[in-house]
Amino acid sequence: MIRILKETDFDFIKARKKAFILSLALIIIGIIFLFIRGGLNYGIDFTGGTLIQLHFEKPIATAEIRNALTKTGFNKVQIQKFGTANDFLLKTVAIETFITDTVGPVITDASIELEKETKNLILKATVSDKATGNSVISSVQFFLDSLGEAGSGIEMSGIDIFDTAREQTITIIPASNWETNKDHIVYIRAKDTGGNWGETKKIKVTFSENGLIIPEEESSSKEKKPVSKGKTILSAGVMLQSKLEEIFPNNPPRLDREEMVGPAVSRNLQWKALWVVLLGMVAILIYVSFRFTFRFGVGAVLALFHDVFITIGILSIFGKEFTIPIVAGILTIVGYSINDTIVISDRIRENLKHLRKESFGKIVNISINQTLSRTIITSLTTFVALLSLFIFGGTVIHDFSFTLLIGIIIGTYSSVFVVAPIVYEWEVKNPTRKRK
Amino acid sequence: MKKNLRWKFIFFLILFFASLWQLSYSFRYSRMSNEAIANLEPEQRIKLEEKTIHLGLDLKGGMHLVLEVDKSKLSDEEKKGATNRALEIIRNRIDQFGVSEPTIEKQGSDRLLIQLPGVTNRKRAKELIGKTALLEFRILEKEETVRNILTKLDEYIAKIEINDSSAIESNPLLSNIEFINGDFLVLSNFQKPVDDYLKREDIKKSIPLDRIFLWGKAKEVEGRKMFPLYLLHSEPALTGAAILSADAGIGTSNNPMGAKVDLTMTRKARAKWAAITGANVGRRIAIVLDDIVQSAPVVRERIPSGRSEISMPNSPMEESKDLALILRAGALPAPVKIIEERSVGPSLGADSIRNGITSIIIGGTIIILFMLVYYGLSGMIADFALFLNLLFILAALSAFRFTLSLPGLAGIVLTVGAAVDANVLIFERIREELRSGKTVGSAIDTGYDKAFVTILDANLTTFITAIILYFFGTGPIKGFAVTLGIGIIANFFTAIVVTRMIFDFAVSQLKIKRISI
Repeated sequence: MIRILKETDFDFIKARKKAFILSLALIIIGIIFLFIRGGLNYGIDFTGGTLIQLHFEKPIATAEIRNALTKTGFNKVQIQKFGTANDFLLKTVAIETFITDTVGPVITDASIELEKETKNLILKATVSDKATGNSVISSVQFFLDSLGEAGSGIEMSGIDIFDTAREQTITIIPASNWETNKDHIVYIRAKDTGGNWGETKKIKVTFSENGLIIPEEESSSKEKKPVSKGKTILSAGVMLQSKLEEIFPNNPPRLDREEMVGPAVSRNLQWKALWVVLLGMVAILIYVSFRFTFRFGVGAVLALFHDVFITIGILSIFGKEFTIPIVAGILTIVGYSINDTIVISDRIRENLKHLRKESFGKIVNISINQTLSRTIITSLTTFVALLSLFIFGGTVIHDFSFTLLIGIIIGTYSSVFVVAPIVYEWEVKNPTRKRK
Repeated sequence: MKKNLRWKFIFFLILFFASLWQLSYSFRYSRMSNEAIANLEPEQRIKLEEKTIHLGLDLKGGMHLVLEVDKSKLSDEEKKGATNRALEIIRNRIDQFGVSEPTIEKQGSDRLLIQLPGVTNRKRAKELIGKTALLEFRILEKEETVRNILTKLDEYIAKIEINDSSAIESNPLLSNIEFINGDFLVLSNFQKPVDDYLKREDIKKSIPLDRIFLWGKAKEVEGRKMFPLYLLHSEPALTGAAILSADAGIGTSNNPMGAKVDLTMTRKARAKWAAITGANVGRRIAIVLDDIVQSAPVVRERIPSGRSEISMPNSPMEESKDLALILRAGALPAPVKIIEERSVGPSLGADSIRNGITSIIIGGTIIILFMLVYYGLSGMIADFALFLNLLFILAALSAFRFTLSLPGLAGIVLTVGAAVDANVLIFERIREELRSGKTVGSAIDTGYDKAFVTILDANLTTFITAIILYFFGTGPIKGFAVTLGIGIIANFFTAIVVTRMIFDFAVSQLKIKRISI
């Protein structure tokens, strides 16, 4: 029979002061680092944003990618090597893509004719949304001389009802009182059923002695023809990838992962993460109080806070990112730390029944010693499994397994050195039952 | 005692073989090549996929989207049911996209969750989901004309294929099309080849320029799943903007119990609707949403009032509700925006699976060796329990249709590490009892009894955290919670029942006097 430990007789109660100091020191160091780094390094789950994982065929330097992206105007992209020299994480702001029509219709054709008898102008305009989202036209308006806000103009009537993405409209502009040789400007805008106003078309009209003068077609936006096809379907990931593809034709990147979290979602996730950890703790407090005593419940929950704080502190020291999987990892630590605590508490409860003559401190010591080899073996096997996950499990899950690794160590330490000593302190100051 | 042991053993054997049987599907499936899977009959494939382990998007690759219906541009009246309309439209499109096992569900009042496993063409998928709904009314071509055109196309294709010398079928097109109750129907298996024909450039030339072939929604005809094929005017007669309201109801003019949809056109569109219906009495007008024919009612008379009644005598109420929803959706497209997206490429997913399995094997091996060295023969029993644990977790995952995600794999690794915990607790107890001078049999009994409470308490708390994670977590985290939870149950069972059974057997049947622990 191989044994890691022969009958041990460590005095854990005596060591409790040192342990408290160590714990406090670890927590303080963690808090200091949190301050230095300006709070937790939240991942996109909590801040909102876009995360892209790219795989290049050949190794490439981070600086090369950064230069390339800066040149093309993407200078707010964070670039980070991810495992190998071929894999990179790119982070940028969240782009909530409206994948619907966001561009208004354009005026494809407009003409003004003079109605001889009445001296009124007949304005005809053809409006199309076919190239800008293909939504049905809902409204066409014109302004005379001064361009007002979209929607405040004079409605033009359709040749038939507005029911397609291309409509012809007509209206009459009374012009009998117009002075000769004075320039007038007619502005036309159209809206689609998506509620998008399109670009304004400008036509200059002047009466001269010879009749109507309309200069060459003029568009307020001649220089910037609508490039957008109406649908901003390209996500940040696809956009960055295609840009990099252009720049590195011999080493095109593959888009392995893209995560986009919008601001509303990330706020929601922040709350959820906080709730899930707190709820977990409360559930454990209730369970342990019910199965053991309230004091053990409080001791266990204090130890859990201790574990969570130290783990977060260590994550901060290593500059790890705080993401949803990390929260799950922390809750798992909570679950496993309590596991160890319960094994020890169980022994204390059992020994309290059998060893009535011993002092509370002695019983705690005996109990921890009795369960020590189990505590070490279990922590060791779990640690080995997690280490294997950390080394071989791939980069995607690296931080998650790192959190669990740290947590297992801290959790094991706290169940031995924190929980029972807290209950002991409480018991010494305020005994629950009379002892000899 | 003996009888009890026998029943335990039988129960264990049943569970063991049931798990092996359940996993055999996943094993077979994983050994099949993509081509072999694609070659399976659709029903067979679904049947097989239902029994295999369901991989999460992060392992299989695919898209996870959360959409928000943008109601800011809608009036209060229009806001009602906007999410349902968007859901219906998106479902309509995804059904046609051919994604296996998509998830499309409402989240809260204005969000939609969409999961498309295995989708690699993300751009096209997003286009499909996000484009503005386009509802159109199109006039259907007369039956006779359709038949003539189809025959012409059929002859043309036959001629070409004879030249290609690959022809076996003398009617390559018509042989796939059946004419039942006024509809041209194509069996679901043949829909793709027929569609491929109709999309060919050279064949398109033989279709009149102002006509277009479109598919209808799949329907059950004589117990077979069939797709109707329609020849329509390529220029729509009206669009969804002409619709003022559409409501499902019961009770048509000639059938008081028949399902119907009351369709009212806007004031502006009334004259046009009257003209269209007037010119097409006796013909059919198709209601087309995003190029898929939803319904093709016959025009009975000219409708001057703008109020039409679409009677659906042979359809259940559900269908008329769906049609009304689609008609309203066409009239009031609610734009959606992506507020969360998580996409994983297939190669990264495959890497993750490989890495996960590697770490399970390596971590597991070290633990197995350790247990063997440390606890001797008893360690071997614990190792057997560990193996059973893995078997049960995977079998339970596939049997209960849970999803295995990347954190889920981590959960398995963690379970492997913790699986030995219960046995360690028991073995340490037995060792203690042996040291205090008890016989092997009674040491085992007391060891198990005393460890039982501890194991129960310890596992229950972990189980509580798993439950909380499950209800609060998002997709992959849920996967982690599931494997963790199942792992705990499996752990408990193997440690308390299975290893105990083996020890009891050794003590009562083999009458061992010494124990290697």
